[in-house]
Amino acid sequence: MFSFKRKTYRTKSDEELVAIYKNEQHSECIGILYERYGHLVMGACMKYLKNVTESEDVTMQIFEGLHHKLLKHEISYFKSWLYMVTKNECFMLFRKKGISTSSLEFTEVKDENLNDEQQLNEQKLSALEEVIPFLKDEQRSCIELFYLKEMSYQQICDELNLTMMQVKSAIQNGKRNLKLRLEERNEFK
Amino acid sequence: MNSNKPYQTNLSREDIELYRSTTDEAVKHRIEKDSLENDFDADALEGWSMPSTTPLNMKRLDKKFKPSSKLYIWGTAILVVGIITSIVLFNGKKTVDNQKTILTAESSSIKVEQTDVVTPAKIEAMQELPKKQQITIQTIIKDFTIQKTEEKNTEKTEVIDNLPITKIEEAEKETALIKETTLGKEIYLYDMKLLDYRAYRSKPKITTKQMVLTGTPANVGETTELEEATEWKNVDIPYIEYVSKTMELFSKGQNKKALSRFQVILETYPDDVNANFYAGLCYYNLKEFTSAVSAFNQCIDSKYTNFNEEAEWYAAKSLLADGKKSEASTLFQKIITANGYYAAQAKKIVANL
Repeated sequence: MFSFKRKTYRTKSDEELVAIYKNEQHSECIGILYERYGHLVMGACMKYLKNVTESEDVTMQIFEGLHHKLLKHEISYFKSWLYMVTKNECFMLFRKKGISTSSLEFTEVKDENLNDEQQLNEQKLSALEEVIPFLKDEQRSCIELFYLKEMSYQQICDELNLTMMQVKSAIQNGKRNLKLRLEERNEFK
Repeated sequence: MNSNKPYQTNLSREDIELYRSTTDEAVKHRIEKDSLENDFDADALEGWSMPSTTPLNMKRLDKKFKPSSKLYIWGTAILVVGIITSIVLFNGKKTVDNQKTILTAESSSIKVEQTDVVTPAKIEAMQELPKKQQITIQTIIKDFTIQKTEEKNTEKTEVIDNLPITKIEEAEKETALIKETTLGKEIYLYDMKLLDYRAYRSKPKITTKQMVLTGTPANVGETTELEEATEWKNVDIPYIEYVSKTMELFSKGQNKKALSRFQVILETYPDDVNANFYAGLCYYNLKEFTSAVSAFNQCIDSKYTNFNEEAEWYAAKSLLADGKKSEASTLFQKIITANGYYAAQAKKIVANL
């Protein structure tokens, strides 16, 4: 019976699973959500905490905590909400340890529009090319090599003689700045 | 993107595994680019890129939360004792080489597959060819790299032009059946070509026997007392994960270990071109030339043609090594006529026959 339910649940969206859990409190729903996002939570924890054991503990706390959090909160987009919870849990751990978190970009994650994932598609390339020159040199070079020349992070490190951290940061920040520029021009509204 | 999935994640566990194992910068770029579409994915990939992390870090969590997880035996058997137990269960008192490679996992709980511990007796009895006569990993990788570069430089129209008309005629003479063939999507693991079956099979998995070893660290590994017996369980492992570990063993020249794992894949997927091709190479290096030819032929018979050229070449070399000069010569001639990558090398061999 559980196997049948599991199969049925696997075809449900995150939001449907959350709704089912709210009604039936069936823990299989949390199992499916773990299957989908456990590795993302663990990976994000490792990025921030830089400690495998602590990351495992925090990931475990987060998924154990879902049992009551799903009942308590109104969740419109589960993945973004889980990302926010993950960052907040890491933040709490840092606070317990008395570590400053100002450099960790712990900003609240708002619900993302699903269409965000298609934002940097080919249709926008011409608009992108116009705003890329407005980026700082390092961000521009990294964005061009990554998106236009399709190089990997490591290849960009070698090409520009930058560290992996610098390259990742430049691409992520550059992408964010591009999005802001394009929004100003109403390209992504 | 991911339109067939009921959720929005660009970064799967398989992607993480692939990202950590591949040396193909194009594959890395694809995963990096996909993950950048979402901050959560990007953070996760960055976390998993840290050298201190291994996929084993998820195992403890998987046991607790994954829907398929069952109550595993949480004993205190020490790692070496666990392996000795498994040997007693499945292979008497047979000595097992490479035990230590299994013990390098960073978790206190380790999953050991049966093929890690017990090599089938038939494979164990095989003798390796002298290193100089083996098909080396370097040669295979070099050939793949050159062919990949040539493919990139070749226009699509040329590919059509290059299809030999004579080959079609021969095929018509030989059989009236028309075989459906196709060039499948490829990936590279440890710089070696593989057909990416994730594009053609829904949720490809390999069924194998696995044992969970739990217990104390290796510093007490000298103890010989059996504390608790564990048992083998049938488990399903994602195909890409299983193949990745197998290719790692193969890339390290562990022909027997790799072959036993390729055989496990073939039990589930008898026509698997990856397993047939690389098993053929293992057989060659283990002086089992007849089995090698058979494996390469299975590979050629598949509807996926990705390894046809290589499989024909190594089948011809296997026949030659087996002393079947006449059959080898016929196959070398076929390779010369097809005028592919191995034609020049085949000409040299035929000239000396």
